[in-house]
Amino acid sequence: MKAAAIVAAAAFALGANLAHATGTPDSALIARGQYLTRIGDCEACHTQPGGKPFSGGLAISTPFGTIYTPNITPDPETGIGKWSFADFYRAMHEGIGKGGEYLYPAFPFPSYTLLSRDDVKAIWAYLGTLPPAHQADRGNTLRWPYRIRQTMAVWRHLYFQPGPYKPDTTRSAQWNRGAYLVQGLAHCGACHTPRNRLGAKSTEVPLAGGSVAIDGWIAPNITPNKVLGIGAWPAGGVRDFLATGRGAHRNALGPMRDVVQSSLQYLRGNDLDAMVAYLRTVPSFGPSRPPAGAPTAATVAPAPGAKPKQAPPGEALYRKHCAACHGDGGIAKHDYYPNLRNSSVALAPNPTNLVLIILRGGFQASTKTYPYPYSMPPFGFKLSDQDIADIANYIRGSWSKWPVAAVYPDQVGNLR
Amino acid sequence: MILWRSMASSRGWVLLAALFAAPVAAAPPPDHDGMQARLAACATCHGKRGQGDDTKGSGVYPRLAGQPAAYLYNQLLRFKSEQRTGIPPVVIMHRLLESLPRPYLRLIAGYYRNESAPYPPVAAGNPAQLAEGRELVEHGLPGKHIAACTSCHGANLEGMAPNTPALAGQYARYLTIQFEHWAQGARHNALHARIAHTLTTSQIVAMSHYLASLRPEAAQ
Repeated sequence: MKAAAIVAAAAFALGANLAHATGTPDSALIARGQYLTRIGDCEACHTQPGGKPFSGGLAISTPFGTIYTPNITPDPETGIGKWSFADFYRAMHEGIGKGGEYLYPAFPFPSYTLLSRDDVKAIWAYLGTLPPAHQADRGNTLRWPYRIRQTMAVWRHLYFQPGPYKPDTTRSAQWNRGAYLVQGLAHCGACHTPRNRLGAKSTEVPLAGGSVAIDGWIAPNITPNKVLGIGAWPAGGVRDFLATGRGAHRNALGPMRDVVQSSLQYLRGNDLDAMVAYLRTVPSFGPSRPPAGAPTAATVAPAPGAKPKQAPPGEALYRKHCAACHGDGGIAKHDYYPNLRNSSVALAPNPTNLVLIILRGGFQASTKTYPYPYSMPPFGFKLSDQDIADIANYIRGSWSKWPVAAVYPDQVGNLR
Repeated sequence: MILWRSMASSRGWVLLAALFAAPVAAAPPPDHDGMQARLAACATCHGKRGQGDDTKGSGVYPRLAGQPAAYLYNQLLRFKSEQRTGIPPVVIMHRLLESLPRPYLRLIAGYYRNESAPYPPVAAGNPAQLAEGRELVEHGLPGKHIAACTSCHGANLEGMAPNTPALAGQYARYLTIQFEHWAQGARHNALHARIAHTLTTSQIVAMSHYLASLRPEAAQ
């Protein structure tokens, strides 16, 4: 009954709103489009805080200036109500707007280009069912020369590889489905792949960790490296993490928490399995043995002139502020708190995320599985830069033989 | 008249009253210990039982325990959507709440509504200041069209469901800071902004200290 009512409502909405439909949209196509739109996480970027869903206006800050996302509801004046499917397909597949203008790759068309025409059609059908929102687009504030869209011609010539996805026939169907989702629709590399100075994703070290901060956070290495990536995660750990944002050594906070909440929690089981199967096979990135010589969290931890056997300065702070949940030895007291021993967040070469978690705290993702998540207190306004650096060094230096770079108080200050 | 107009204009006031009867009651029963563990991020300032933070006499972080659920929910929503904004502790609130869906916010509001943490002992105050505060709280400033606090917040300042907070036993420093927020536009409420602009700082401080010295009847 409920399903029938939804279909009827959708059909009504279509009749009222679907200015751009080609042919008769059917409910199965729309449902598939909704699923794909969620996995593409379109709504997250195309909705500003407090705004109507998909009506755009979210500011995306890039090294080249600020880009405001456009309205993609079917509103004829301010949205894409006057677009044809061919216009939409060209935008998704080629990164070219209705007026023939080059779109900036803040819109992840270099990933969406891999989508099949059928999938784009389903997304188009779903977007057509959205309530039109009258919300004019805001102009971008990009620096010269990037504000000249023609500069994108050069960029495209250098970096843009048009799709669609070509299956690797030596691999399984599951692997290919995973590659299609990771590289294409879910555009994981948009954050997790390092970018060069012109903002193009690296083709040599895909998913080796992002280089552009989002609200301060750095997307980590998600290659199968055993220390820095996800190679040592337990069986099923990656799958659970994608679906719930929770894992034994890592909880999603910051932008990834939002991605899990708005997108990945809706992945179907077979798509989750496919993504995990693919992620397990991408080239591992990370040093295979410890680098020598550089100061490490373990060597920096004792204060200058301290007696050799004195406890590291972060230890007392850790016991006071952290151990109640994360345990004395970095083994958490409950499965809803992450372990810090051997945590890839703690051991990441770049300590930014670890410091941000201590500074800002936050709630875990709220998902179907865990609707009422647990939280980490923010310590930014209770502890000094030195205290937070000491705690971070204690966490990084105490339980692992892997030497990681020390955290200094001025780094903490810069992240406040 | 002024009072009524301001109340009618405050956002969603009446609607919230209607909305609230059902959703809070219908929320899954908060498992007490589970919620306490879940809300570690809140406890760091507001205490494990929502008693607020008066450990160093700062009184900056308000007592939440026992406040009307709709009031708490409404404020959580305002932090989430950045309608309360601009001041560092408020930015922290926004960061913490921005991803939480409304059903969880309702659950959190209901949790603190049902908490009954003990109040701190009443600090010895300056009798003249407390008398001035009491006069303002109970009678307002009729010459300047400032209504008594008791006319909305309850005869004993115990708060009024659904959306009017208890003032009795709230921390003085917190209350004073709220008037600064209304005056600066970091908190939006026309009535309270007018009070903030009309009263002198010493009058606001006197009111705050008097309110902090009260205890709701049940707690006496």
